[in-house]
Amino acid sequence: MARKIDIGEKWKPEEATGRQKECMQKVEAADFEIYSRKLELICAEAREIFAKMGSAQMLQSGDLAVGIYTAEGDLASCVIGVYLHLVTGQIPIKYVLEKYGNDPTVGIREGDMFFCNEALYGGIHNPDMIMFMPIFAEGELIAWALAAVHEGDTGAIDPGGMSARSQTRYDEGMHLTPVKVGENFKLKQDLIDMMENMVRDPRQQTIDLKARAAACMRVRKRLLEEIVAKKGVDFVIGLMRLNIETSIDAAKKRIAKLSDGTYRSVLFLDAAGLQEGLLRISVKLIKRGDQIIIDLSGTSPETDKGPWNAFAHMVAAASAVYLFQYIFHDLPPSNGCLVPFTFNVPEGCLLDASPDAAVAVAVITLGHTVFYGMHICFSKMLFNSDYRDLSCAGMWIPAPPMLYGGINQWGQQVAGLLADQLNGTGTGARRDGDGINSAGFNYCPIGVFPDAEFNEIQLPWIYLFRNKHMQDNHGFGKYRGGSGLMFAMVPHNTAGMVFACSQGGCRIPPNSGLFGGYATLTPPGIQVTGTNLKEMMAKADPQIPFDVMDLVINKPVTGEYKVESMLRSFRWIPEGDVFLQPTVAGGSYGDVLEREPSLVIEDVSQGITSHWVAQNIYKVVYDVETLRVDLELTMKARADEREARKKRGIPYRDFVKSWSHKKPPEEILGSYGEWPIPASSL
Amino acid sequence: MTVSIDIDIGGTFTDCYVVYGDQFISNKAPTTHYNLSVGFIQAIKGAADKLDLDYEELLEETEVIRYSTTTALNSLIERKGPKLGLITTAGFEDTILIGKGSQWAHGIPLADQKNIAAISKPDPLIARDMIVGLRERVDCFGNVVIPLTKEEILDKIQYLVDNGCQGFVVSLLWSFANPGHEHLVRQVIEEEYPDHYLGHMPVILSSEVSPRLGEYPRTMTTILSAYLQGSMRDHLTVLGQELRDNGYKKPLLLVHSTGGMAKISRTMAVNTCNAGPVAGLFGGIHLAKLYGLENVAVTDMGGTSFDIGLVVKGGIPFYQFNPTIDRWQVNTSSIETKSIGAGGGSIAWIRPDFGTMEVGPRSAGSMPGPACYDRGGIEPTVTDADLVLGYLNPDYYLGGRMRLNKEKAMHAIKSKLADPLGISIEEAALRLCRIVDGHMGNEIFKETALKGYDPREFSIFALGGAGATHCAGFGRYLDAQKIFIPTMGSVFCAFGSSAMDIVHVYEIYKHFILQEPRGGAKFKDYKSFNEVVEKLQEMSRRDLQAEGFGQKDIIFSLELEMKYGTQLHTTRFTSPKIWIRNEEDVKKIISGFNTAYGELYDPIGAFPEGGMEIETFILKAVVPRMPASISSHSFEGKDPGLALKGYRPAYFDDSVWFQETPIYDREALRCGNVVKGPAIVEGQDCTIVVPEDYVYQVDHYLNGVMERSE
Repeated sequence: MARKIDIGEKWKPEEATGRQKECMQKVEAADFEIYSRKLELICAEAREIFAKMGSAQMLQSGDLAVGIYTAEGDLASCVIGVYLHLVTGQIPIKYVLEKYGNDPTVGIREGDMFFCNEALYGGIHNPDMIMFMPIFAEGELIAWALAAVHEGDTGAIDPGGMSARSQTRYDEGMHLTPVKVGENFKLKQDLIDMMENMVRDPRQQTIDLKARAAACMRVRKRLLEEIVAKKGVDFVIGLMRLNIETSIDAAKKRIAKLSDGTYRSVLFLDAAGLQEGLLRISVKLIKRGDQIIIDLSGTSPETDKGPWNAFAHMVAAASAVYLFQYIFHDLPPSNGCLVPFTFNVPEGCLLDASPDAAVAVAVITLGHTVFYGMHICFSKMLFNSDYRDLSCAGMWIPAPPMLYGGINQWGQQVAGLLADQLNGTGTGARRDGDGINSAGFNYCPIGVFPDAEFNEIQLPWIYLFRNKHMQDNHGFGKYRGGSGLMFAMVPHNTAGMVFACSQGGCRIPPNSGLFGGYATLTPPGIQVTGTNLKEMMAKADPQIPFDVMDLVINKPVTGEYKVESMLRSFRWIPEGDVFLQPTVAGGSYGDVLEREPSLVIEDVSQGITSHWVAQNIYKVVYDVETLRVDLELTMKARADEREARKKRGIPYRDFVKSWSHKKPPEEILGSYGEWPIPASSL
Repeated sequence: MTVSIDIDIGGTFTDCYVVYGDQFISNKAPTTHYNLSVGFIQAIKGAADKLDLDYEELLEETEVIRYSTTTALNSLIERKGPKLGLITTAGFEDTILIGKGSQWAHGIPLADQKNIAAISKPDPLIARDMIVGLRERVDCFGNVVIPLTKEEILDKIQYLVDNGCQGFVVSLLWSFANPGHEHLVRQVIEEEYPDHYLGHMPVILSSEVSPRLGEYPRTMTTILSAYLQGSMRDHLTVLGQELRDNGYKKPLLLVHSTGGMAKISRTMAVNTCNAGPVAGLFGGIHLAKLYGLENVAVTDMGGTSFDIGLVVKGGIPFYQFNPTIDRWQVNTSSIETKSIGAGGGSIAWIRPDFGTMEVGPRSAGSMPGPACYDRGGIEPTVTDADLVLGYLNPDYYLGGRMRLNKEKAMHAIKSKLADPLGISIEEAALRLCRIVDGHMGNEIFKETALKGYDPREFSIFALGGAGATHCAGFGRYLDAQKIFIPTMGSVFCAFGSSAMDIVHVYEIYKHFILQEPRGGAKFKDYKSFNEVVEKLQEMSRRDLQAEGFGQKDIIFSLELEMKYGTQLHTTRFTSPKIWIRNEEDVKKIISGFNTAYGELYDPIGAFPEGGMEIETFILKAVVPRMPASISSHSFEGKDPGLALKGYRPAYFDDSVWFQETPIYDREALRCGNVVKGPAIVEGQDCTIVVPEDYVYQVDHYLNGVMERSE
């Protein structure tokens, strides 16, 4: 069995040292404002060069993380990015400090560079590869720089590194515990060669490793030249700790202003491994004063059906993503924000897996689910507060990861995770407006939805359609969710490609709407094989479909159509056949009957909402030719619907009574745990 | 005798800089937003008056008028463009609405990007119902996958025309690799709507405006060109006629954000955005040469923003990687200048929950303006703090053209900052100034550091109404070598265009593998490489000959956008070779790229073993112009006593409280005068704060130079 280290609460700040306390006194208020921002700017600069130097899709698209840590390994500052990596990155740094700091065979010296992609040592899953570098001044270790990004391949059983087929850690490819890969500011060639030897795209592995190193080097250079040289070592030590202390203080004050209570969000996943199944994740947020307990009791047990497991520290990291993006977006981005939180992750549940468990898709399936649970609980809490503007529905989760592998048009082997379907997700609706169409990825909204041409020049396919919003895939409500897309890839200039998707969500929409809004669409996985598409293209056949609805409903392309779960194992798609993948949408806010009819019609005119939904869900009466609304008839239709609702409604007590008798079929409860609530409890 | 006129239209004033033989005249006139031509003419008339010339007389003698216009940007912000139709590839109709997903983050400050609950995308310049997709397709090699038919085009353009289309933007996938389909669209439209009919509508092709990889920025660049063209054309037609009617015989030259200028007939509207700050940057180059400075940060602190541009090794270092105009990412070769929300009107506030002071990016603007303007503003601003601290003279603001209300400034700072923080008004004002100075210092740091330069190696040119007051403050955060406060600072952008060369920039996308991975074969197809360069040179010769320049006048330089194998993003650098004749030339380009890459990022990131590829060729064709020289003055002694106006208390340090501080009249200071800090130098256009540890000296050009005292 793999070794599991004691992580405890290493994502929280260590106790302030005497030196830190002393140094904090030397930081004046105005200097704190200026240099606290400078820490972020240093990370922003490193982020820019990191993204421009890399190769993996997530790196090119800017879904990455750069942070500055104290000498003790606490996150002191960072720039907007994948906060998940930044929180988990503390754990391997602290491990290296404890384990190797005084070990003469390893040690921590100026110019060293450490690498880690082992979830057991603080990561989430092994495609997330991080590099961290100690920063010395006047012979003293004063800080660490960290650069992290999801890599394209890990040498797992399937291309792309996060295979839904993996059932234990031994199916997941390269796992490296924290290891020194660089000395004297140079990467060690023997270790580069070793890594290249483990993966399918060795050039990508190496250039991304170098990009991480360059990002760390830039953070180090700027910290030393721009702050240490001007203000001294003590100032930097005090500044970093003050960032953390300020976050602690502000986070507590903000939480104290919110209403005490217990807030719940229960979510279900409709797959375990490649099989259909039901999993339950329960997020209960208990808020008292300036403290919050996040209780995951009632979550399904660890599963051996596939990589739908995670290690407990992921819960804190995924929660931090929500906190940094929403309720604490304006605080210094340090681990001080996490101090008010206590996490209860029951032993043996799928969020506290055993060391040998497969966790390859934990970041997507479970991380997103915890993120979403936090989002909903907080949105309920925030509604009754001065921070009501932060109350909103969530993005579609879990974002579906699409993987690919093959030989590209340049004759080179390629494998990886595509950024399209993640970075084109719509956001949830807000208290006062719609969600944003195709806005980004919930883990890193600033990430870029790549131009189709950028992908087509590197990868051997053409998109039959891609940059086109999918009709009705968002949640409907007073304010609708942001729309997503559906795109179709046709292998081109290659014999074919393998494609897969490591996430379900076709049966149960994992994210509900908020305050009466609809949940989002549950998009299917679609493929068409044995097609005549190439012939149709060559003769400019007017029946070529440029829209998913046209393709699936009218079936103008001959071939075998398969409409199935979005969760799909790797399959070979030959040149000229079609593989479709959705980028998903946001949940909605409020009752559909309260939506302004003019907004409904605007969406209809843009193709985002269908006539059927406008007429039957939103109850808008209009002329379908001119789109002119009949307000009087609309009012009447809505009044009628309200009356119909009353007739359909039953007392809550009766509903619970009838609903409690229902139970899903036994065959999908194999990984669920005890019905109806898995045994783990606080 | 050289006679030239340079005009820069800003938000408040239209600046004019005239070279008339050995005389240099600057003049300002209010910008007339209802018709920019009126302010333009008024500015020239004022300059003619100063020269004792008739307006017509000056125009008749003028050899060149250069114009940095904001017309384009104004019409963009005000959404005054025509109703356009976008013709794109079917299945990609929402490209400009998706905007690479994170379009919501383009053109907004970092702090706003972090608030995910409040993000929003800008309203599109072309509504969704005016976008059509053509059934066609080209692949990455430029091969046609789905042929385009005339019937398809006719069908789609008819829809757009029926819906009120006033012009067509055509942006098809991979059109830069094979523009055939875009050409066919134009041909069909021109056949249907020939230019001798009233219904003729312009057709703008992405393959001609922006032949680069990336459908979103390429499409947006093309849309902006089309959108801005209409409003600019009307304004420039009226202006050109006015100038011609009054004696000016030469073509009007427009300044480009690419760093050159060209006749109206050779100018794309999108290239005129941000021309003013770019012209200012060229003024910086001109001055830097006079002073023998290699690296300069040209800064301009006005009422609402702080603009920065860099001069590196005496020239312009970088074009923007993905320039943003308003909220739109484009891919023009624009020279980079940055702007942040830090100016005299920036509002200070207390951040909830942790009680620290923040400054900006919100600004009080000019209406209501800072509290001390006494126009109803109640928020404390940078200008209010400057007044409270005694830096500004309430009776001599802008040379006495505007009076300030100190009581209002004190009240705003007390109620909004000092009382909540539990500190004195003066402490709050000083903290406000230190924070805004720090932010500006940080921004210069970011601009220099992000491009791989050491900020400490830069001098600063401080321009703008508030720049002189705060330059010592923000320069402190950079350890700037010297801070220059030019006398022509108030018309610096107009001055800058007088120093610009004629520059045309041409680009061709062409993919070549320069070296195979793992030290494999080097590039051999020299002929194809050289054909691309030849084609670019031919394009430039055609344009420059039309402007009256011969082959011998033109200097060419070649820039390449290259990458290592598997990278997506390219890195632009100046190629050491324009032509490839042999393997040595290939090696020189490879070596040049490795060096440039290492300098920009870090040598540890270079990966030649992964293979090296060229993606885009950029040719710059330059016709150098001789800028007018600046008058030099003789040394008149160090003593500034004759310029001393009096004393007033000013507050520089919490530990010292107010000190009686000498006040000098800038216009009365003479060459060689030395003013030791603490001191304040009041001028017609700005107030210079000289802190205790600085010395201010008037140099041979009557510019002010500040340095840290020994």
